[in-house]
Amino acid sequence: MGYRGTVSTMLNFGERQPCTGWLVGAPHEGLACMFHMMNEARIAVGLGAAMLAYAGYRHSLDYARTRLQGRPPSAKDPARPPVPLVAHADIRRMLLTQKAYAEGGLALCLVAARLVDEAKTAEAADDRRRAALLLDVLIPIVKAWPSDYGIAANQHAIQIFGGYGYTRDYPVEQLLRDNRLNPIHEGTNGIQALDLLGRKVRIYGGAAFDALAAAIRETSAAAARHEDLGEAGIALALALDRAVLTTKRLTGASEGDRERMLANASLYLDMLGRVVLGWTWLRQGLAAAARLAHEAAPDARDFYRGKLHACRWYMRNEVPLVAHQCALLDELEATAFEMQDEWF
Amino acid sequence: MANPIVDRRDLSFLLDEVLAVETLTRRARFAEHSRATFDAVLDTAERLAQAEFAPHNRRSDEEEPRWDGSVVTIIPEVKAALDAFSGAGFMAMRADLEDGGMQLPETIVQAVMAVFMSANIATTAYAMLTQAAANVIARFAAPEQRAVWLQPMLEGRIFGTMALTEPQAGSSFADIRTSAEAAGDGTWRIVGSKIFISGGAHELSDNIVHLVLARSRERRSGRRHRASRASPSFSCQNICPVGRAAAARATASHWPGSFTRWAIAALSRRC
Repeated sequence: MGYRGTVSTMLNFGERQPCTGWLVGAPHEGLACMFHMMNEARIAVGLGAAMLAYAGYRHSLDYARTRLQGRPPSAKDPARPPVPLVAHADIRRMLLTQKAYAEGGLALCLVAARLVDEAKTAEAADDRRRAALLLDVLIPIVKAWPSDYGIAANQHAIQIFGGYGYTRDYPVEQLLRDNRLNPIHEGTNGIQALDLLGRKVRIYGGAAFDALAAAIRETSAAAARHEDLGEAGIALALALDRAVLTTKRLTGASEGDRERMLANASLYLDMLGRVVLGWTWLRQGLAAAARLAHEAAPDARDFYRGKLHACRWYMRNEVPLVAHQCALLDELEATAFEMQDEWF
Repeated sequence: MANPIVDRRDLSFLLDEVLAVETLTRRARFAEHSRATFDAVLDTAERLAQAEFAPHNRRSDEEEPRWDGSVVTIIPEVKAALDAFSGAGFMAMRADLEDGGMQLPETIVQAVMAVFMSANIATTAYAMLTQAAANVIARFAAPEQRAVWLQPMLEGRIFGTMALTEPQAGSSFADIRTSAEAAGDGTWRIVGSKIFISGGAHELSDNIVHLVLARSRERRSGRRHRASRASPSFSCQNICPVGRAAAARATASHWPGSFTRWAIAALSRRC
């Protein structure tokens, strides 16, 4: 389908003649060795997905600015010249959605990479431990969220190109095909969700999840005091409170409810991912607001305004979905779990 | 056509204004670095991505790798791009200075990879896999293994893979069957099949180091001891992928043929 330039092989070892290997690391420590490369590898997968989304965003933005098509609802006179696609509100919706997913995904992956550095090199042992805890709980989201939403971004890119986007004459169809690998490799997104809900939010007595909640709370509190970001800060704080309650409820589920709880793992990852992306957008929003206060250059002001606007869009359009998802999670929603094979 | 490469202003915004990456240069591990070295690394990445990676993104999709029964053929732009990547030191950007690496922070490493991925994800994948494999070897391999594998990997002369998935075991590592049996001379005999191994066969490098997850079997009192299910052993080798190995995705795993070239031939000579 995609990644066609990357050779994919089936390797048969020792089928026709003996195949020699060397043991790396201690015997029986293979999984530990493997997991050593997994953090960085999973960041790389999330990052690749975000970059494919990013490339599609840039291609479709360029197209939307140059392609003349139709007229705005307020000026339907066919005698008037057509306007660029970007003049249409629905096109801007699709561009802004891509911007939020692509740049948000990139921010998330770089936040995770920064935590890798903190976990390895922070001077205080507490800081190193805190960074390691944050990474524990973030890695499944870092891998899965950009790969799910990167594909969603690529769908919008194709939609903006219309019929042309569906053809091989334009680059956006390839980006979608390439991106379709990312939810599959390096541990499928379903496996990431089980890792998150079944293990990561529970380890160390929930300390990893608590560290994440504390970090998000710190950012939302800073934003709530800010003139331009007060609404965004409150939206994220509310979503976080909801996620904390739901997480407590799920991790406290009885052994008898465990399967039913884990049946909701993907929904849980999507919900917590939405909170985490809100966090990365709020961090971007705060940084942009700080610079905007002193910035005079018009193109720089546009850049920071764009960041603030994408932050607001995410808080208004995506973060509130957390409440609905938490309501389903709270009751251990079970319609899919109870579905019988014979009923399909 | 638009420039697909990640916006440098956005990257700088994230690195400097959101993540304060320069503060990392106060740490002993990154003391050799400065804002200027980070910028130089990103400038070089952007230039190479633009010149060597982005231009063949479409062509490598349309003319995917071919397997003629003995050799995998890939459009020449891929090797040229990866040679340029290695030549600029990017294969070693995460590695320690004493191993000849750049010892860059992970934040900068991933930012650099973001630049290349946005230009051409399929070509960048070979580099990403090699970096990941080198990372494991740097951390876990015995000194003599490091001597043979690590340096060439950091220079881009040997590439790496991660061979975990098997035809019957995708997400489920508990079900892997590939086995490694001690040969008594310090090497192991590997038997089994791995599937969907990216970068598993090509002419882009002198050799390929496959990191293969396998169950270890050891002879004890004449009886085979099977490793516990929960802790398979991780073997790395020059694997000899004898049998089927296919290049192009569409027809993968259906082409007969054998691969004996790299592995045994090249690595056993050096070992």
